[in-house]
Amino acid sequence: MDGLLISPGHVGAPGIFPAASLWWHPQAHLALDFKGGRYMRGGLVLPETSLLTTARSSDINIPNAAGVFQTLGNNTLPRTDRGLYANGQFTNLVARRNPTLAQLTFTSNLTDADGFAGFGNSIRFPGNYPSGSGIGYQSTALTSGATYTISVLVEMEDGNPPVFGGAIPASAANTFYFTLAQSSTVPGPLFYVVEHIFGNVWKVSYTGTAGATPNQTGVLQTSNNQARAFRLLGMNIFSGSIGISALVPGSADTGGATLLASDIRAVQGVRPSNSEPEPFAGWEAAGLDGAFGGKNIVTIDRLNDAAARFITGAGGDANNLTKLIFDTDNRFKLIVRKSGVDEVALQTGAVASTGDKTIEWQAKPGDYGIEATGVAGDTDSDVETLPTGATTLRIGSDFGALTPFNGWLRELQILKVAA
Amino acid sequence: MSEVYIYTLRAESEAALIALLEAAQAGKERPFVFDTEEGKTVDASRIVFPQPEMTLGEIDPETGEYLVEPEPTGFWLCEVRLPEPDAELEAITVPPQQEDEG
Repeated sequence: MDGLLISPGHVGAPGIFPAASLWWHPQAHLALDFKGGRYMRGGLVLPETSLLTTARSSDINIPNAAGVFQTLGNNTLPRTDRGLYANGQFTNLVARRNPTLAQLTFTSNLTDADGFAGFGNSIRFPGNYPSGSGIGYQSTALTSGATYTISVLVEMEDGNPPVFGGAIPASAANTFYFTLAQSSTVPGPLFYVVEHIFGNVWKVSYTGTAGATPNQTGVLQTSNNQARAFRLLGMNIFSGSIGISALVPGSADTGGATLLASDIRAVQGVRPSNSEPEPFAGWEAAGLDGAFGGKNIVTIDRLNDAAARFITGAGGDANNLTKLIFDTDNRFKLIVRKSGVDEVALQTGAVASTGDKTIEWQAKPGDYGIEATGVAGDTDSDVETLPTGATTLRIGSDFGALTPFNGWLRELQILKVAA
Repeated sequence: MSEVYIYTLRAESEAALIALLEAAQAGKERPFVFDTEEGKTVDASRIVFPQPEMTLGEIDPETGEYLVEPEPTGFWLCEVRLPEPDAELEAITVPPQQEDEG
C-alpha cells in the first residue's frame, strides 16, 4: 500500500459519486459527519434517522460546542455540534448531580450562586478563608480501597484555568482538591484531568482510591490553596477511572442515577430508487463485503484507558467482524476477527498526545493498512478474507454495547476499495 | 422523550439474575444477555448492570455521617428499561426498594 491508504481511482459506478468539492471522500459509500450533522449514503444526502438507529433506554445530558448541556431523550442519537458522544453505562454514586447548598450533606463557608452551562444553580467557593476552609460534601457509600472518579464543572471568576500542580492537596500549587471518602492516598497532580468546556468553565476530574469515611466526599479549598474564587456545578462520581463528558443525574434527581449505554448502528438505509427501507444487506450490494476502507476523525481526550475503546466495525457478531479500536496501549488497531480469533491485527504507533485524530484504514485481503494523525501504521499483505455476511455497522461500541468509546466521534466514512 | 417501562429483577445471585433474563428473552428479536470472552453480560443500553442489593442505611442530616452503614442483603438486583411493555418481565418484576421514611 502506497502513501494515502485510499487512493483515487477506485471509484465506484460512474455518476454515483458527486464532484470532489463535496464534503465526503470521493470513494465514500457512507459518510457520517456527526459534528456537522450531515449524512450521506450511496451518494445521496439523507436525514440522520434514515441511516442510524440508537437504543438507549435513558436520557443523556451532554455539552454542545458552546458548553451548554443538552438533554437528549431515550433512543436518540447522543449528538451535539461537538460530535457524537458514544457512551457506555455509568451510575452516579452521589444523590444530586447539581446540588444546592441545602442539598449537600456537609458545607462550610459556601454560598448558593447562579448557574451556568445550562443549569440554574451553582455553589460559590469564595477563595479566601480567614476561618476554616471551603467544603462541599455529598455523603455516599464508596467501597474503601476501590477506585473512583469524581468530576465537576467549575467557573473560575478570574477567567484562568484551575491548576493542580501540587502533590500535597492543601498546597498553593492547587486551586482546590477532591476527597473520596477521606481518600487514603494523596492526590498528586497527575491524577487530575482539566478539560476546557467554554469561556471561564472547566471540567475537572480526579481518579483515586476511596477511604473509609463516606461523609467526606466532595470538594475542598483551604487557606493553603490558591485564593481564587470559583463556582462549582455538577458532581458525578463513577466507579473506575474514566471521567466522562456526560452529566449523569443522581439517585435523588429525576431520571435516575444510571446512564445507560448508547447502542448505535447503521442498520438501515433507504433505497435510492424508491425510498423503501432495506436491511443492511446494502453492505454486500455496495460491494463492501470483500474489502472496504474507512476514514474516521475522533477526539482522543485522554490516554491509558484500562479497557479498549471501540470506534467502528462491521460484522455479524462480536466474534465475526472487522473493527477499528483505540487500545489500552494508545494505539489505533484494525482487527479482522473470525470465529472469535483475531486473524489480522494491524496497529499504528502509540499516540502520545490528546486531540483530534484522523485515522485512515483499509481492510482488503492482500493489502491491509492503517495510519493516523502523527503516527505511522502497519501494512500487511496477508490474504486473509473478511468475515462475510455483515449485518451491522456498529458505531462507538461493540455488539452488546461493549467496550464503548466513551468520547467524541466527529466523523466516520466507509469507503469503497477495489477487491 | 418516549415512555419507559421499568422492570426490577431480584435473585439470590448474579448468575440467577442472568438466568431470569435469559428465560425472559426467549423468542425475542433482541437478546437481554450476550456471551463475551469474559462470560455473560447484559445489554448495557437497556439494562442497569446487576449489582448487590444494599440496605439504605441511615444518614445523620446534621453531619452527613452514616448512623447505620448500608450493608449487602445477599440478593442481586438489576433494572430493565424498555420502550414498550414486556409480559415476561412483568411477571417476574419486584417492587422498587421503598425509601426509608425514618
